[in-house]
Amino acid sequence: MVRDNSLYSKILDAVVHIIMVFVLIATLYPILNVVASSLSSTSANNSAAVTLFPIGFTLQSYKMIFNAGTVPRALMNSLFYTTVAVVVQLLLTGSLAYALSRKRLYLRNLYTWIIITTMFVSGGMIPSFILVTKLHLYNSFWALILPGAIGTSNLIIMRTFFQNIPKELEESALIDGANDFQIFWKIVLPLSKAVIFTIGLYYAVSMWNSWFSALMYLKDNDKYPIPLILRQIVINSQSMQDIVLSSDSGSINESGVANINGVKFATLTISTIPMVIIYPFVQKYFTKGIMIGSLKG
Amino acid sequence: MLKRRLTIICLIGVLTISALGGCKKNTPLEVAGTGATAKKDYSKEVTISVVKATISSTPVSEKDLWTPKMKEMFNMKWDVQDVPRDDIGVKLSLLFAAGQSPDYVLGTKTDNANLESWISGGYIKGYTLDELKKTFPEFIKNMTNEQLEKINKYLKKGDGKQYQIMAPRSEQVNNVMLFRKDFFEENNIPVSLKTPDELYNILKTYKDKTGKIPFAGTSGIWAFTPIYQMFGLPEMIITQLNYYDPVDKNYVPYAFSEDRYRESMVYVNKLYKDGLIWKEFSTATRDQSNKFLSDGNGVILWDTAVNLAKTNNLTANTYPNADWDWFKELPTAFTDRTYYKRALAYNGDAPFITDSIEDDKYERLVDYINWASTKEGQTFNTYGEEGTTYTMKDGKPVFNSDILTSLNPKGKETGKWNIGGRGYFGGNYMKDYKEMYSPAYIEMEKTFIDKSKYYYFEEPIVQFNEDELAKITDYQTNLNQLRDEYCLKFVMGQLDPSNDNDWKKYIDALKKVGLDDYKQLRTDVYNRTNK
Repeated sequence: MVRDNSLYSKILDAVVHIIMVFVLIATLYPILNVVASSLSSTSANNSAAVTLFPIGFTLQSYKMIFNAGTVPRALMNSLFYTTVAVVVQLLLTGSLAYALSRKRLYLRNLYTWIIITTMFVSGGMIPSFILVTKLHLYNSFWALILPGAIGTSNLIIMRTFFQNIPKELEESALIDGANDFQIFWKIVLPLSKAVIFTIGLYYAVSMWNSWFSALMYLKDNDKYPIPLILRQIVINSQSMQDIVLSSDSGSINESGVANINGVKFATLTISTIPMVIIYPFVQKYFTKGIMIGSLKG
Repeated sequence: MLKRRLTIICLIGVLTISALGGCKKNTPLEVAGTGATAKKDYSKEVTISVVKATISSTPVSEKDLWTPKMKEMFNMKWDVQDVPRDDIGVKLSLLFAAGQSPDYVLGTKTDNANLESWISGGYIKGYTLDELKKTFPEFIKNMTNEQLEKINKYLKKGDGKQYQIMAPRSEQVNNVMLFRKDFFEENNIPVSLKTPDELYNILKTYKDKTGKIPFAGTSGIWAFTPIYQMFGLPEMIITQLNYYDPVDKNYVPYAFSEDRYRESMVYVNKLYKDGLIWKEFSTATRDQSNKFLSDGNGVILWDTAVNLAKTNNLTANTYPNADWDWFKELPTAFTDRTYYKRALAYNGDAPFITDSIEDDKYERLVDYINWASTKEGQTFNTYGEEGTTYTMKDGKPVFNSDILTSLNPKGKETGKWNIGGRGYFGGNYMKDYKEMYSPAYIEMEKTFIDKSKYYYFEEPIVQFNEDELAKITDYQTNLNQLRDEYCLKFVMGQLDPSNDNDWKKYIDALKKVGLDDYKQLRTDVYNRTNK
């Protein structure tokens, strides 16, 4: 590779690096601040003194969360729902996308047109709720997964990808006696790791952050996912704060009950850990697949 | 090509038929009857579906006291769904619209924006005063006739029915002026707050001596509610908008176009110009407000005396010896009267029974509500079970040492025993509780109620019909928007409220959006309601 060693190029590199450092700081600072606040004392959080490092290091907030049981249970729920959702959604989206990518599918264009229409119109909240209850899915985690199992935009991305797989591979498999399912499972899918990981990550992040469906369709608190619990904590933090701070114990800065900002940020930190752990493993597929949905020549 | 067209036409036909078929009208659910039967037959177990608006739910981790008690007494189970209070409107609207109405709803506020639509949609069971007395005789015993009629007058709708089962409010006085006693003692400032000038001098002294902001009000126009009260407006005037003066005996349909409001703005503007008010008063979040106090700002605060410990804890970051107390008097701009804030006659939130509840469930629920209104019921719903969560000492129930109370902040919530949050039906048997765990409320009541020349505003009763309500809402939206906008201008000095031209500008703006019609409509409806 020919390297440009001109002064102009070096100056440009330096400028780019400086800008990237600022972007890095701007991105990292809130994350480090949240983590530091979750590990800081009540007084430090109340006086908003925490920046990048914990002040008055304490694990009290994390202890309170795990003792209460609500957050760990919600975390396990979210992990379970996300895992099941990704598998179901990828299976359904992938198989529909493959079918739509085959030109020999009768009325392919009509089906595509009907599916795309759903991007612009929907039944609305009440008909969706009625549908979910009539299907006896109310208060079941399947209500979070099945109604949105096939994302139209994700479907189109996968369909485009499958369309670009050479037809010759399919024809040679047909000659060898493979049926459609075998072609899909043994030839197309192995070649589609990039799009599967990319769309899988999209589904996973969407499912992990989803709270409104849980609010609508789940009745039992012990089935709530982590975003809903976190939302409740954040919204209701003032009421909790009054309870925490109304302490006549005589202790000035530590009321004996975890500080609310600490609890909020600890919950936030816990809720992001799984995604932070997973992402490095799928990153290479993600960067490869990010342009998958774009037009090809 | 022909084959394709035929296929498309068939598909369209199928879609159309299925859409029309889906529009088939469902037969309405049977409406439950009213009143309990004379014979109590609890042989059949019933399950009441309940939606409860909550701030935070406590998982039951100790012995469940509630479920076996309800089984034993009423052969009844509750299937409770906790919904965050902020989401109760959406969730209930969805359940009602989808035909999944619960039987009983707890924790909805009287000013819930959706309540009117639920009532007009026929989802909630309503009671005339006589029906209320007949159906809930034990509940009625928890209030005087005067309280019952007053609450009914406030809550009843155009059809004469009350839709929430509302108990009288327990705490009557809950807002006072807090002050930092240590600062007063260190600087030999007399503990006296009778006039606007005294208030100003205290604030100025604090600013001069510490360089910090002395007045700790936040939340925009809400920051100055004690100042409005000082100049003769109800503390809740921002939402109330109208008032009846108990001394002058006149009705004011819109307070924000009157001289008292103008005087309060002149005063607040002076405080702002002299740096005695926080510049971020209109935009600060709750966390920023706490940081504001935590940094040592604030020497006067409008809050409840119950929050003294909380305020001490916040201020202690900067002043470890901070010692907040409350004034036993309030400042007034008048020579012949002082206004104080008295809580509404009724509790902030109340349960309602939905109209779709089945007869047998309804009877059981009514029996429960009547039992919950008795001494036994109130004691159980507050204290739990004797021996498990409380003991009797000198004939009074006292929580065990492991229970969370104002005296024991490290304790466990009674929710862990599944106690509490089942509806409030009166606290007339809970005087011991108030004395032991909320003595500040009793002290505030003793200080201000019946104090000589101290008066409070009762919320005027104004009953609109549907058309009037729609008109009033339209006017109010525009008027209040202008009010908020001009309030900021007056406070921050962009306009001078003491200048007649600037004040006229404000009034003209209000008149342009219908101030005169609004005032006339309100006055007519008030006169009609109170004739």
